[in-house]
Amino acid sequence: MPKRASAQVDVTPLVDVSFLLLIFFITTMQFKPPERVSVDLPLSRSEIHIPDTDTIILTVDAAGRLFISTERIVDAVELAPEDALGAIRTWRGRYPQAVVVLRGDRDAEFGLISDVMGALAESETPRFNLMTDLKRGAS
Amino acid sequence: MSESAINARPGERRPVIKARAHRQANIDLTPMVDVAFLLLIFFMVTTVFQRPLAMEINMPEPDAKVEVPESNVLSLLIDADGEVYSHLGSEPVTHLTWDLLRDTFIQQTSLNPELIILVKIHREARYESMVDMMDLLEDAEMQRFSLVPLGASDMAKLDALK
Repeated sequence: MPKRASAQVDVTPLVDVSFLLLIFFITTMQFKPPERVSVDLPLSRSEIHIPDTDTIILTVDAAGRLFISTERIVDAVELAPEDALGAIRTWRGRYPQAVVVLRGDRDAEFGLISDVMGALAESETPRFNLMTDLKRGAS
Repeated sequence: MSESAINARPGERRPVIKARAHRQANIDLTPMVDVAFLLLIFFMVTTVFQRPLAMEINMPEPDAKVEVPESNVLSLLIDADGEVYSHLGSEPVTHLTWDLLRDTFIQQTSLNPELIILVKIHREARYESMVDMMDLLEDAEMQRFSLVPLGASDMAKLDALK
């Protein structure tokens, strides 16, 4: 009789741990937010990470539209190219500690990007980041 | 004793049924564990702890001016179609391929360590060509370069080549 009892493995701790992990993954999982402005990022070998919070993101999509937002790209506001400088100044004033990130589509026209970079330089933001995707594989 | 508990009449409480009820209280956890692990594996596989990557840019002051001898300047021109051309100082413009660029950089810097690179990109070129160029420059450990607007004289040089 005791021999038979020892053959029965108690699975309760196993279930505990697996459910704990399950709950962890369910709660930490972020569904990809519905992107109002979707962008194909250019590829680069750079592996610098952008902070998750406190960023000002300037998006230029393939059609050449310009948007400004914080890290919540869902709330992006469209800008007319001539308003870019004023808007960057306002947002920089609102979030003085924020890191400025330029999120351009790889097919966007360089002229537009160049204008935005010019506006950034003029609004005393000489340091900013270009959002990229990792280029995989050799060379 | 194949008669099930449901078929048993309510009045008849025999010790046999009690023993059977006790056995039924022991739930088989295996399917639950199966499902839990299935979901666990699903979430583990689909979760991406991805943070966007970036390249850092440091722009000079808008009105910063640096005097450089022309022979130290390697100009890289990118036209509207994404083709690369280069010229050193006032030498004639030559067409390059993207594959050759890295070797060109390394060769030119070994010839002249003081070399300064100007990247001039046509306004109608794709943004990707700028990032590609910066990536190549970074890869060749040339962090000092300038982005300069493609002027009319450069355009004329490019047109003359075609």
